[in-house]
Amino acid sequence: MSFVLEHSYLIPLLPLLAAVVVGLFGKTFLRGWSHLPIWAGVGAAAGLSITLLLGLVSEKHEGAVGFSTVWFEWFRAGAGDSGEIVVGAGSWIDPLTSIMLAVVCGIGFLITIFAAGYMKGERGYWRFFAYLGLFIFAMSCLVMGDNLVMLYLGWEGVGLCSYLLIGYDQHRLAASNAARKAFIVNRIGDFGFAVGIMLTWYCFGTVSYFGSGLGGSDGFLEMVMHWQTHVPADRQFLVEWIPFALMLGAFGKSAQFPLHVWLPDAMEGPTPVSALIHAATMVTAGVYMIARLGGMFVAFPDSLLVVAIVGAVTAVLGATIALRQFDLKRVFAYSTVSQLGFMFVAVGVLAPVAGVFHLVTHAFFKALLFLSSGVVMHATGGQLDLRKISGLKKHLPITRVVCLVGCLALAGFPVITAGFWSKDEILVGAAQVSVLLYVTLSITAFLTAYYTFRLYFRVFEGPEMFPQSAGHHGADSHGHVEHDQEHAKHQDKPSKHEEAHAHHHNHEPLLLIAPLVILAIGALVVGVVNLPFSAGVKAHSLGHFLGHSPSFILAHDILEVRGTSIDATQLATQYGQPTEKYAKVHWVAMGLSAVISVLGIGLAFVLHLKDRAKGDALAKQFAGVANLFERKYFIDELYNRLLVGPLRAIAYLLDALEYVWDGLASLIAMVPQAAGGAIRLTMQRGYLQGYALTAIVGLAVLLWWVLV
Amino acid sequence: MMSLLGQIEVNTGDLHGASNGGVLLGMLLLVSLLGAAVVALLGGRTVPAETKSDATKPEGVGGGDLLGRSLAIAVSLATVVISALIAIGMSGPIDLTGVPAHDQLGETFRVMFDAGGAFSLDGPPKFSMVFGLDSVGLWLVVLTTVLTLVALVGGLSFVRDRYAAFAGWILLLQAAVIGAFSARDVLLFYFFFELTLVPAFFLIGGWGGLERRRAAMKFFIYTFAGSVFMLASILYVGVDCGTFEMSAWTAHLQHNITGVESRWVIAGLLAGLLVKVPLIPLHSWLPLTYTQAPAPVTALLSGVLAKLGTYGLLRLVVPALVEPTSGMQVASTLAHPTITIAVAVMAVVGILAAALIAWMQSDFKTLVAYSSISHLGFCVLALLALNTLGLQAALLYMINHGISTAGLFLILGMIERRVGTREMGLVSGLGRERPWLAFFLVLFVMSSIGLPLTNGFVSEFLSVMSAITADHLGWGMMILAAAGILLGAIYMLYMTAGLLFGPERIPATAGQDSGLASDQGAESASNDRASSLRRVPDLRFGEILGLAPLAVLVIVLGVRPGVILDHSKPELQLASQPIATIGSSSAASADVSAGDSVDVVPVDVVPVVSTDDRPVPAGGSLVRLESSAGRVGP
Repeated sequence: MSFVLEHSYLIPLLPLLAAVVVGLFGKTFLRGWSHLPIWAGVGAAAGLSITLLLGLVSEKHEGAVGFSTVWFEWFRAGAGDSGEIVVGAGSWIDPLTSIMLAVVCGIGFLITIFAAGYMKGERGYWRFFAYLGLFIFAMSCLVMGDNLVMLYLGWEGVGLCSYLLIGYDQHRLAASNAARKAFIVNRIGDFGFAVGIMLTWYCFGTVSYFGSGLGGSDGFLEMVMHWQTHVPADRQFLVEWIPFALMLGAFGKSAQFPLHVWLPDAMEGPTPVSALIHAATMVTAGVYMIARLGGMFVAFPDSLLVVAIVGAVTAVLGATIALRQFDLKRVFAYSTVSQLGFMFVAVGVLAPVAGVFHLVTHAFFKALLFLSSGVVMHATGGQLDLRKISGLKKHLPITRVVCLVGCLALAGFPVITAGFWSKDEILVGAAQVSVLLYVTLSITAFLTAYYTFRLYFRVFEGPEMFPQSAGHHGADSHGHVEHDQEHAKHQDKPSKHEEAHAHHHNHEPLLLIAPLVILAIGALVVGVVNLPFSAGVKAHSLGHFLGHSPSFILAHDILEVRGTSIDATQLATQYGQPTEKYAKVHWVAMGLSAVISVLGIGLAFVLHLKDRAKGDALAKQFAGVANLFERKYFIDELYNRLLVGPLRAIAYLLDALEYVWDGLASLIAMVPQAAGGAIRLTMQRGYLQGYALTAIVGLAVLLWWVLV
Repeated sequence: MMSLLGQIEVNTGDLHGASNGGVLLGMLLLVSLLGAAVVALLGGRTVPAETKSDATKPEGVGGGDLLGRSLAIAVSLATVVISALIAIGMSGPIDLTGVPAHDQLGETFRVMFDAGGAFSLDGPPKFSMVFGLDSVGLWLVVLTTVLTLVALVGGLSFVRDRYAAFAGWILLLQAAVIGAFSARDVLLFYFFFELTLVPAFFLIGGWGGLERRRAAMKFFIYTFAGSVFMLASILYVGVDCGTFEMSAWTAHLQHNITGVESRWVIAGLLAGLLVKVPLIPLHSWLPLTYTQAPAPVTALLSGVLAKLGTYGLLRLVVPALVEPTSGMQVASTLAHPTITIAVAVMAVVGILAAALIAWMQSDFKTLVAYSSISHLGFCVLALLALNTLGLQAALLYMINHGISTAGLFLILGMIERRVGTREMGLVSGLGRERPWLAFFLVLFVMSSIGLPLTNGFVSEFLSVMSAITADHLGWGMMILAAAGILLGAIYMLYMTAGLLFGPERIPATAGQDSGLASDQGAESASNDRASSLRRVPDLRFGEILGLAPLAVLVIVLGVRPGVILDHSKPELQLASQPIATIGSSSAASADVSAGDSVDVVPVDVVPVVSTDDRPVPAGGSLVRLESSAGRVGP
């Protein structure tokens, strides 16, 4: 472990090097082997991260744990008259970082394995893997950085990779538009983030979380406890806006209302990308940010209230929209939006351990679900419409099982799934703050169980409907028209890949299935790391581990001073802090959420397996609401009407004014031209040299007149 | 005229007072100037631009042309090497310990070269042919030589006739720009500032697009008209001050010209400089010029020439905006709040308006032209923060904007040549089969929208942030400017996604005019992959070679911006301070204002102790301030 701490730069560097190698040699030399360098780079990073995590877990700790390493000084500017900003490139490694790193690199590695099987034979195979390597680089910078600018670096970097990977299937207009939308909506969030960084520096004089180390009071998270003494008086009015500016960035990256619109469209990207970036890792960056900057947020309680409310709204919104989506990946996309809302509620109601816990379990089961939808797509030739596929269990036996595991976890099926435990923690946390919040989330949990199993029963159970085009590999083209044309065009010379498919009808090659099985096991057992029972020694072990992170300690300290309505023991548990006694187990809440989950699954069983006609009839009965969900509350349309439209109108007006202004300038230019007309006839003939000569003579005369 | 010559006071000709760096600087100017002449004369026929149109002559490298090409590249390489040598010689932050913080701006000059000594015409004011570089000028000079090389290499594929003449003009342009960046005399600066117009005029008019004549004329007249006002201001102050020597001139403007008078002077300076930048109401010349000029020239226009404006602001205007009486430790107070705020508002409005206008363009070159206006707004805003952070950010911004915008114009020029149009609506999906083209376009776009780890990020971030550090700008301006970053991403990605992504669409005429298509696409109707690649090929090796240095700089300066930030800090820290009344006694400054005699410019007041054994220029009453590296504090 000490090796990893000393050489922490290797974790981002190795995937980056791999990406560079693939970028340079992928097209010409590596071709179909382009995944190898990425496997090596990301695999090594994963190995290092897991070593680090295990090392930190196995050691006994007292109090704060955090290791700061400065790789190099990135930039430094300013002086006494403006204040000096110093930004180092360096890592901050504590329990929170190590968990995030293990998730990012570990799941990232599994997905690169899956992708090698999934993307086989695709044009631009090398490009895809180069982007993946770049993504792991940026994401590990994001979670490892020891200051806000490093966080921003990773933030924008993963945004770029997301942009490139969504637009990977470049010949499709939808993919191109989705890529652009993702980047721009994220940039709206990043605008707030950037402003937040600038304000942080302006107020605290540093962007570093903990400065050179803990206790030095030179990091802004250390100062925020007594910010009144650290921030100059004339700048104090700005401090409370910092968390609001920063959370805008979190909302953008984690697809929270109203900046959630990009994520469902991002499903245009290849499925491994959806699994890695748009479910397991990148989109959780916002949760990481708020957990990491906990002190900054808890110092200004209003900001956390906003976070919790936005999270709850997003959770409901995502879940209701998911009820009426028919594309497998879209359902999962809205489910991701909704689950991220849960995590935001968790960090908003002062239960960051629950938030991070859910982040981890969600990474497993949602990656699993996306990858299994990839296998389905692989088998059905790109067909993902719930209305057109059914009863695939015979064709995809293993996928069916692992997908069932994923669905159970997402639905929060009691006891045996990880999702149950993490969701329960969030519900308990919400109940401490507000009953309304608790009820809202419980209803959402019910809807989640319902839409998850609506999907499962439709796809894998019931009468068999296996599309004719099966066997063609339709990587993510969703039976798109353009795609079909493409296929038609190339039929005379089928690609190697298609031939391979014609020969064997095994829809579940090992390369695809192995990662799925690992993730499925994870989705079941990861829950044990944070069981809420006080009896065992390992009770809330994830919480106690995370509790050593200075971010959690400092935030908890602030809360202790400030006081909250939450029971002190419960609060300490939610922040993973050591307490006199264990917090009581909320059996009632646990029981309720178990019942809710089972009820949701039961309803889905009735409406989508036992009697599908009834389900369809029910949807018809509530056509208005169904339509509202199906059209996603018309939020895209509202954006276009209220934001894009007016902005374009202003731009159009300004553009038109350009002509007016240009004409005016020309008009002014004509005055001397007209006046000079007479002279021109006699003295000049319109050559530039003539004008230049005149200018020089004029200058000489002027000088002469002035000087003599 | 005889009498004029008779009154040149001091030693002309020799390189007295020139350190090694000074010799190099002299060589740099000489090499690019002579190189321009040699290339133009020896490298084939030098056809005047007016009698152009021998386009009928098949392209092909004549013997003279080959000579011209290799000569031009060689000369340009030589200037890059020389400028690099100067940079290496000056690297490492200078030791300013012991130097009072309010020292003169000019004292930090590290490389001086005196071409002719000072001479005056029958009394004051004095005009001196002195060139010098501190790190501000240094990095701009390095930028100039690198971009010139890139433009010449790029020109190899862009310019198919009269390359030698083209290269000659480019090298003359380089000489003029280097002259302006290193002039230590305001009048000399003005001379070179204007001299750039001549090669630029012929380059646009001779090698530009269909409307090149109109573009060249508009460019020339518009910018010339602006700079006439600047000349008036320069002369006014210079005559009053008695010398055009830059530090004395700026000190005089700051201390001795006050009230309405100074407002007019500053307004005049701004008229010349802001047109050059340009800021938004003064920009009408730009869209046409940038779109009509050939890509390598546009790269130089936006990459280097625009920086003359911001450099002029930094050298001449910024000192005048700082209240001379304000203390040294605290943030400077404003001498001209109205002007400062007005220009800052112009900058912010420009950032936003130009970004929105760029969004509306269907012509990708015009789009980037407007983006250039928007981006330089950040630079001007940072300058107007009038503090160290702002000035450092502005300098870095100048360099970075030069790199990324030059790269953008070049790569877009390459695209234009391939597809035969600049209309984004007609082209799409180029990226799928052309990874190099896509790579460079995306890289420069990312640099331009300020993605971290590209050069654009640090400068943009610091520029926006500097607004809040200046009390007169405040957080409102910062937030508006930050919104400009957001808009920048929108229009740039609109362009990038349009060109690279989506279904492949190439105009039927593509590839016929470029000379790149390996054979005339007879089967142009078929949109087959191979044929589309034949008509619109990926970047060639030569083109990649031309863009590679810029790409490397994008990354290097993104990861280690300290090369410029740290190096320039001492100078810019001083520049953001009010220039102290020369010397410590108020009597001295009173003397300056009262007397017409230049002799008062106080050799004796400033404690210059030269440890170098080279002679302090004797006889001349001009104060030459030695390299501070060799100076001991009082």
